[in-house]
Amino acid sequence: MRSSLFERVGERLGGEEFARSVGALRMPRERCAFACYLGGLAAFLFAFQVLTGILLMFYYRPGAEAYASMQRIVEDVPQGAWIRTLHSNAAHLMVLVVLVHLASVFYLKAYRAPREFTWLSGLALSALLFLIAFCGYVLPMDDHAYGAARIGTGILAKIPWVGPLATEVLLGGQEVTGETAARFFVFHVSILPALFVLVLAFHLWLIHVHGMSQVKDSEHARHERLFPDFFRKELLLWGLVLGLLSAVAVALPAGLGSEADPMRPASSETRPEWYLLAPFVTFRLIGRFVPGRGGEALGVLVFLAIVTFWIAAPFVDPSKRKRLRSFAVFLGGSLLLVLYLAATIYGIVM
Amino acid sequence: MSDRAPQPVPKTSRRTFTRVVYGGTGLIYIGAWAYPVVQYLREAARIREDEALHDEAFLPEAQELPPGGSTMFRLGSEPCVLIHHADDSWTAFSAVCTHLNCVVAYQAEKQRFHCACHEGVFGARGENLSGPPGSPLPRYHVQVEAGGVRVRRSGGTSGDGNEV
Repeated sequence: MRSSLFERVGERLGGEEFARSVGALRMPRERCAFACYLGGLAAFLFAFQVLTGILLMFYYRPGAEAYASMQRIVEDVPQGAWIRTLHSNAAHLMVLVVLVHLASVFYLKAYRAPREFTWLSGLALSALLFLIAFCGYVLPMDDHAYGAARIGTGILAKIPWVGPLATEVLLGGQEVTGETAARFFVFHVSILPALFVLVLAFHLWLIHVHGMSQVKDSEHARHERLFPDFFRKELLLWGLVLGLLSAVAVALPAGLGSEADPMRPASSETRPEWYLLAPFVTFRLIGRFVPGRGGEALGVLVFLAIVTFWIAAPFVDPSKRKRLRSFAVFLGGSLLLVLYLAATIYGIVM
Repeated sequence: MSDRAPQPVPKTSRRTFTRVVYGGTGLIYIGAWAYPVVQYLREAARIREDEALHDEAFLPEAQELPPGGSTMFRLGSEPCVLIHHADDSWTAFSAVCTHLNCVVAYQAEKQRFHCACHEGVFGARGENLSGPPGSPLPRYHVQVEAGGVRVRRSGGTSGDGNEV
């Protein structure tokens, strides 16, 4: 009897208990319900990145052979270009989904008490994601990667006191070499993802504790259970996203630049991925008006102020009763988001 | 069975039908992803197969092998043993134990192959004598030429073939 064996195993694993407590999560069925798919989609893309990343590790060789092994993946290994493009595009998509997730949580005011730590852990996950993506970008050791590694570690070196030591440890010497790729690899595949999983578990635990933030508080707001009603639709969305990723990867394989050459001067093409264009453009703009160290310090202050704003949001705007503060946070966040968007678009077209 | 006899209509409930459709779609979807992934993962194996396709080895150093001596060599990627018998005949065998793939040792003084992993023993003609191996060591074709010894995978018979 299939079902009875299934049931008996389930009993011993606490299946019913799990379904009752986790599966019963009340998902809102309101106009803004699309926002409820974003976190799940981001988590799903993370799992997808782990899987495609593992596949890439079968052929990728960190160290001096990094570029040659990438060339082999892209040119020789059957479906290698497809897998590599999937991993690269899914990373872009994950960053995009996470940014939209942040923005939607912000506009739905889902960061308010008691969800401060959910918000903060979400910010931490975003920061980790940016770091993981950056480290991954360096791994192919083509000319883009080389420029990125030089600039990224250059930023790190500016941190007072610990900067130079940290830079040397990360570079594996004084310069960007194969050793650097090996070290970025360790961060990309073990240290940062391990941290990501821990913080993600915390993030999900808090959602379990507090439940989904409801768009409407009223008793009459419509709901559905996470499992199976919502999850079924989520699966469909994931399937569609995977299909789209695969189709794009088949049609437009990601390119590999020429091999990193320390003797080749940087070109105007040396620029970050789209999601880092905003800080890139901002720093360049500040440098135009306030040259030298002063501009740099101003840039860092602006950056720190922005980070502080996002961290402080749930504490400044803890409940809907404080209307003025709520409006101030709404205004500040909107301003930052619009600026981010504008700077990104400017960075793309300039 | 007569054509006219009324056949019982198979009862498929709506639930079963839906399950089959959804489950089937899921399986097809998973298969569509698994197929290219398996292709991707098989690449390394394919290269090894190409290597393994070398069906022939020429061993110039075998000229110096005295009667009673033996030497290990590779046929493609497979470890093999070449034996120069006391009566000046030559034999060659795969050195991969037919039990669980350990590499066997030829013991000239006992005229046998011994696998140290699980105490498998093969006779001088490759036949499985004792221990767990269930089949003889594959035997390869040997041809003594000017300047060396040529071993071919094809043309050899396993077990107790008796050419050269």
